[in-house]
Parts: sequence; C-alpha cells; structure tokens
Amino acid sequence: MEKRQHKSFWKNAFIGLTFIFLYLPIVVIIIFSFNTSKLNILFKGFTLHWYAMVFHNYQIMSALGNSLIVGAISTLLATIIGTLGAIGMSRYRFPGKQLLDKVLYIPIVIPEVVLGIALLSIYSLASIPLSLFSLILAHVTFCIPFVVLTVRSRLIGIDKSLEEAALDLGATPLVAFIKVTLPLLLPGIISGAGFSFALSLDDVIISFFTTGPASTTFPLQVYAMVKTGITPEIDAISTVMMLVIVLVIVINAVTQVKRVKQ
Amino acid sequence: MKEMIKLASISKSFGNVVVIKNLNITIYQGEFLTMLGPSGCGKTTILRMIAGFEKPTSGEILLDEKPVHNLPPNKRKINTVFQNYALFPNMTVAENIAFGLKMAKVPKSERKKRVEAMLKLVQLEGYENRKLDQLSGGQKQRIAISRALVNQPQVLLLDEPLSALDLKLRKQMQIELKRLQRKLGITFVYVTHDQEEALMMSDRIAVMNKGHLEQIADPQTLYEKPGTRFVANFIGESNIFYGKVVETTDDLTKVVIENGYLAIKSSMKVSQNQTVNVVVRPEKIRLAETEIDHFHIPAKVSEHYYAGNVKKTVLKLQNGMELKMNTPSNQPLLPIGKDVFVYWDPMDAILVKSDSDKIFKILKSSDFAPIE
Repeated sequence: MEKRQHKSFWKNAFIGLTFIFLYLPIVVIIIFSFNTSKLNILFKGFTLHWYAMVFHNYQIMSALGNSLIVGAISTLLATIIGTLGAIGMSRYRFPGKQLLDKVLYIPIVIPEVVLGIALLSIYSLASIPLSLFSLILAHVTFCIPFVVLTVRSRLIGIDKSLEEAALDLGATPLVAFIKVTLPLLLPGIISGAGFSFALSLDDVIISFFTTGPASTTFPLQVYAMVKTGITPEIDAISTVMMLVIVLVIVINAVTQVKRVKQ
Repeated sequence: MKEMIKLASISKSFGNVVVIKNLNITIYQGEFLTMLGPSGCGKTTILRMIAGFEKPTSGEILLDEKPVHNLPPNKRKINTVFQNYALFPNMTVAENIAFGLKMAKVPKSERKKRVEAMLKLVQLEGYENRKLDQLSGGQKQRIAISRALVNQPQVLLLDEPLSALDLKLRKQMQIELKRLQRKLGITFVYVTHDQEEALMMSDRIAVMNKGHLEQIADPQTLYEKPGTRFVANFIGESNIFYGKVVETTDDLTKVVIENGYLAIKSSMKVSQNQTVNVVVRPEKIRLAETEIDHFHIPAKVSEHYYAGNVKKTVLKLQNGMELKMNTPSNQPLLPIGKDVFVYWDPMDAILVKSDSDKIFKILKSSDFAPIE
C-alpha cells in the first residue's frame, strides 16, 4: 500500500514538472503583460496600459491585418488546389503520378531558408514585385502539400463503392461527388485548411524573403520589435493571440462533445 | 419466358489479363440466377459489367432487349446491393433509402411513403431517423436492399451480400431474401462463392471457372448431373475416380481405374476406351466385407469425424487416394483399420467426360487389372 502511494507521488511529480516546464514561460509572459514597469524583471503593479498601446499601435495593427489577409487568401487557394490535387492523385492514373507523389514532399522537408531564397530568386527572375501578392503566392506554395496529405489520408478511408452506389442509384458523377464524397471528405479539408492558416499565420522565414516593405506580417513585425528588447507591449500581443487560440480550441472541443452526445 | 438480361459473346480484359472469355448467358424475367465460382473466376466482373461499372471489351449486354453496354450506371434500370453495403455514412436510414428517388426527382411526399413501405417490407418500421452506426450488420444489409429495391429496378444485382454476416444471421437472411424475391418477382442476379447458399436460393446457377461458364442449370441438375469435373468438385462434396471405359451395355458401364474397377449406370453415351470421370457423392458410398459384383475397390477405414447430422469417414485406397463417406449419425460405424470393399448403387454414380487424358499418358494400359 505504502509502496503504491510512493509510486503515485513520483508519477504526479513528474507530470507536474512537465507542465511547469511547458507552461511557466507562457504564464510569465501573461503576468508581465500587466506590469506597470517597462522592464521584464520585477512586477511593480497591475495595468492594462500595454493592451491599449497595442490596439493603438498602427504598425502592429496593419501587420496583423496583413497576416489575416494573407492567411485567409492563401488558405482558401491552397485548400482548393490541394483538395483537387488529392482527389486527382488518388482516383486517377496519369503519367508522372509516381514522380508527383515524391515531389509533393519537397516543400515540407526542404529547409525553409532554401524555399525562401528559391522563391525570392524566381520573383526577381520573373520581375514580380515583392508585395502582398508575392507573399500569398509563397504561402500557397508551402501550404498545398499539407492540404494534399490531410485530404488524401481521409480519402483513402472512404470506400470507393460509396461513389459507385450513388451512380448506381441514378446520380451523375458530379452529383455523386457533391452528395457523397465531399461531405465525407470535409473533416479532412477543414483540418487541411486549419493547418494552412496556422502555418501561414506564424511563418517567419519564408515571409522574410518574399514580402515587401509595405506588406510586413505580424510575426515579422514582432520579430523586428524584439530586436530592441522585449517590451510589455509584446507580452500583451502574445497574450491576446494566445487567448484567441485557446478560445478556438475550447469552442472546437465543446462542439465536438456536443456532437458525440447527439 | 421473357428475356431480361442477355450477355452475348461478352469478353473482358484488364490490360493483358483476360478475365472473361466469350460468355453467353440469358437471364429470364423474375428469375433468381446465381453466379457461382471460386474467387477470381470473373463472377464479380460480370456483375459490374451488368451494373455499368465496367465496360465489356467486346460483346453486347441487352437489358429488356435493348443494348445497355454503352450506358453509364445511372442510366440503367438496374440496382446493386454491394458486398460491404456501401451505405452513405453521412445520411440517416431514410435519406439513404430515398437517395435514388431523389435523383429521379420523385416528389417529397411520395418519397416518404415509399421509404415507409420499404422499411415495412424489410421489417424495420420506425427506423427512418436512425444513424447507420446505430444499426447491426443484418439491419444494414436490409437497408442496403431497401435502398436498391425502392427504385423498382428491372434487375437487382447482389454482390456477395451476406458474406459479412455471421453464420446464423446469414442463414436467416438467405431465407428472407428468397421470400422477398418471390414476393416482388424482380429478377435477382446473385454472386457468391458459397455453393450451399447458391443451391438453396437459386432458380438457376451459372458455375464459373477461370472466366468461362462451366455449366448453367437448376440446383438439382447441377448436384445430380454435373456436366464437368469442375462442377462435380465445386458443388457439394464428391469422390472423383479417373478411369477408362472397358465395357458398355444398355444396362451398365464398366470402368477400370487404378487398382480396381467399378460400375455405373448412365444415360450418357460413351465408347470403349474413352477416358471418363466417375463422381460419387459421400452419402452414396457403401461398404461391404466381401466383394460385390462389378466392383473391386479395396479400402481401409482410416478416420471418423462427427459432424452433427452425419458422421464423416475417410477411407484410404491402396494407391493412397482418400474417399469421403457420410453415414447418418444414428448408424453404427465400422472400426478404424478394418479392410473393406467400396461399392455403390450404379444408379447413384455420375459419369462426367474427362477434361484430359493426362492420367492415361502417365499410366500404361498394362498397369490396369484385367477384367473377367
């Protein structure tokens, strides 16, 4: 009996330490975002001043806007292209299919710096000016493989005879796809889109190479600000972002629990 | 009888692999026809060609006397029950059944009525709003059948529909399906590799082997008068002797086999020296302690197995060949190791033309015992 308690003490201690290791830095950031002192060393008093500063900082707000625009558009494009690609690659035979299968992984495994430089040199070769457009193009490029992979793994799990059954019952191929395959594919498409948006939103390296002066994204802006020291302002932005993400996760979890209960 | 489906010189190849060779089958209205054969014999490919999922490489498919082999599946008045049901997981029971009606633009009120009627037919009233994961295998099967039948097809295709069910449920569904077919009078084309299922349910069975038709006949004819060695082997249990006809009279055909000879009464015309297969079902085998006229098949009782309604016995011949014998459970058995003589009523054996003379190329005629 004693031995068992002994064991569970160590187990709990291990779990506790792991959580502290993971979340302590985050907690520190949240605490210092409310600090009246400008230095991240001592907590002198509570204030919401930095939050107000952030929302009135034109540079930060426009960078955030850029990030959201780039994220939304490149997610939309990557999701459409990636989904069609996944369907084509798993349902049809065509010359070069094997090659395409392998090539698809290159943007995933290649170092981001290399992809960034490659894109930059292509833009200068084709004389495409660095702007939001070039940034979106770059983000679409590295998001497509993730969408293809998630959608394709979902597609493998869908029985081919379902589409045949729909045809058998009088549906045209297009209707069969929309009514039967697409709804089953949707979770894969959504998670692929989620992946893309997250990747696009926090990408630094590729964005660094492919963006123009007028189209700085949020992570690049933060990166630039950090160069002159970590201010409570940055803590405040980080806290807000974290809050948004936690909120999304909670909403997702709640709706899923509801669905399971139904 | 009206011709419902006609397969005229159908061939099908995938790349270089020939799957179906020059197949001709006519299926009549209201018939329950089963395609029976081992896996890879092409039976599912035939079904998929009738449904429209595959196109024949050559030949014609007529549905109700009109060619359909160039029409896509959605343009044929044929519906399919798939092996794994292929129910749409994102729809309720009612939505699944109504899918075909919706595609045919049947008004909503009528759709509801027909779905209800279908559910009643398969004894699942009140299941409209169930989700698929709330159904058992047998229930899913019935929904799949309803979904196909609600469209009032001219022909219903069933691709091993019961193979995923456990034995007891399968037996029950066999009877239910047969009743349903009799009640509705729709032509059923059924694919299975289970010969017992085929014998029980079918009006006629087409036995397939390696892409060609071995024999098409009603179940009783197939069992009692198999046309080929393959059919004799595939349908029911059988003992098959290779032999050579040595004497034939109106009454009896005498056949010499390795290490012995036997007699058979058959209406089939055979000539002297012709090679034949003699098929004897396990329940027809008799044993005697002394030799019986026209027979010389010495054997040793080797093993007994209890199988419920029958006891199965393995008999070993001198050349190592094993015979299967079934005895009703209430009959006594001979002890293991006993030497016996095998015989049967000559009426009970079946003469099947030999596919090849292989065995006689190996054995010289001098190897056979002379006949008195």
